[in-house]
Amino acid sequence: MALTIQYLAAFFGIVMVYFTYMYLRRKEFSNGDFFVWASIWVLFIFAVIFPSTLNLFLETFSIKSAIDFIAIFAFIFIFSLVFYLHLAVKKLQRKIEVIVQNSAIKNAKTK
Amino acid sequence: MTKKIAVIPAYNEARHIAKVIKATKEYVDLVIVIDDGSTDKTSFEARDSDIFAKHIVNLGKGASLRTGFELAIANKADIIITIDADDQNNPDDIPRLINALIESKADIVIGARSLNKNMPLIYRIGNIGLRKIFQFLFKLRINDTQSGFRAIRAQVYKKIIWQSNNYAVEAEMLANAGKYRLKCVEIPISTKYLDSYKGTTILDGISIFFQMLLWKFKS
Repeated sequence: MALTIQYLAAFFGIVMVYFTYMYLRRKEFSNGDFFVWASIWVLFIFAVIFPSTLNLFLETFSIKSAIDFIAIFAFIFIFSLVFYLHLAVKKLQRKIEVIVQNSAIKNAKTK
Repeated sequence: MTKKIAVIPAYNEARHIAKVIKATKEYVDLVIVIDDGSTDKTSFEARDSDIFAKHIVNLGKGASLRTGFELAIANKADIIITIDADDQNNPDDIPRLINALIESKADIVIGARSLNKNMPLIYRIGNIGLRKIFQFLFKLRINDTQSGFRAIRAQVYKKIIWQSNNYAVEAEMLANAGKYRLKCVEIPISTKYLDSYKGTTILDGISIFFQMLLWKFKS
């Protein structure tokens, strides 16, 4: 019998699929972004509704319980995401610097 | 004739900038002010500068100096003088910096502040700490790595060019100078501390420390 926490997690996953779709409609996500994030949330929903499907991975990676598996992969995912976001912020920062500095030099007032 | 250009990065320095520009003009051919996205009347007060540029958003001292150096190079500077906008440095020391640069055939002359009781205690501790770490990592005998009052030969700009946008710029400039074995000389200067809430904070000091490790690792 499914636990309340599974229902809650599945509901959370469905809400996130909705937000992902909404961002696609608003054109804030590209098709690629939508595909990646929708896949992640669908897999998440599937894993919380049918946790026994994780058994195959548990044996392959010699992990004792499903919760350990989820925790390990959640950490890997979160750290990868933080690293990616850090790079993206650095890139944006660099672009802003170039724009601001070039604009300052171009519009410099000489007496 | 040697063309001397002063670069003054300014962020919310409406109280002091006009006085600094006026005094600096006595000793250089051109004064360039970079307003780093100030929200006060710095732009208006800097109207007497020869060249004025404004960052539309605040980027930091390092970025302002980079913009200032680009403008100075474009205006055919031979010697670039960097001076703080907060009236901390005495522009009357500029001729001594320039003479030291010429006479000692140095690439960079640093106006070294004395670490006496005039300097707020927290600055003194930070400066001594950063100096020791800098000397250990880069084997350069420089006592005031954080001083923003300098005379620099324009021709070495491409060698010392920095990535730092914040207060790490001064140390990075010197670390790069060490990498290319440029001659750095220090002369003592007088300093006033008017705004205790401005300048390098403890967090900046910690950030500079980690950045020094990064530069060392990169080199």
